Amino acid sequence: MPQTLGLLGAALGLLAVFLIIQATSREPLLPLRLFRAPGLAAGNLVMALLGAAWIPLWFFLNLYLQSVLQLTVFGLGLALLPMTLVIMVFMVKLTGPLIGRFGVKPVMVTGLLALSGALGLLATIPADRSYLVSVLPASLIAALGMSLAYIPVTMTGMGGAAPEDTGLASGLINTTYQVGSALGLA
Amino acid sequence: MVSAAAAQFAGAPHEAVDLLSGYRAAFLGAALIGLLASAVALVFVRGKRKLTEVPIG
Repeated sequence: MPQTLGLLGAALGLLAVFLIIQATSREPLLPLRLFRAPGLAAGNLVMALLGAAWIPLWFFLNLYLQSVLQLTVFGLGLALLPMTLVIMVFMVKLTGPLIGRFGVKPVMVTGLLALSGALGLLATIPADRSYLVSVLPASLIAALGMSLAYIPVTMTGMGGAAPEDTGLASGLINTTYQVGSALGLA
Repeated sequence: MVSAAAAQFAGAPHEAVDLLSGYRAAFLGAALIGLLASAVALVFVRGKRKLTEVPIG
């Protein structure tokens, strides 16, 4: 724990140095004016939190399936396959039309609540149940939540950026997701 | 029905039981982060932007 906190403090210090350099440089890598784009800060904040909720789910679900349900590595891969399929199908087929019909915010909030609910179910996970009863339903709800939330959050983070800044905004939101994931796991 | 894993945990040393508790706590923590994300989205994200309003590329 002290090591984690120490590294976190060092990371925050480096982040502060990075921001100072960006604010004072003539040609910054990340112009801070980017954050004035509507929705960009909110989108990045939600993306960080989404990563902080989603990646620990994968990490600890892997550990649970191996150490408690005693699945083999191959079985573990098969057990997680339905989540991947749900994400693939829903992101491609369902999320876009739903956003077109209801707008970004309702779809995003619904997805985040579904993900939270699924994680809540997994928080009561027992040692004496099978994969089909204790893991599959919750994991499918979580995958559905991720499918609904990820695209709207990305749109929010990029939607307000000027056309010449969309590459920067895209890189920023992807980085934010990675940072949020690491912090959530820590 | 009690699985082999449950039987293992029933007579398990404290470390194994702690392991399961740790997983549950991790999931609960992630659930709370997810709820926080929902609240942030509700408060700070603008309302009814549609798919066509977002630049592609």
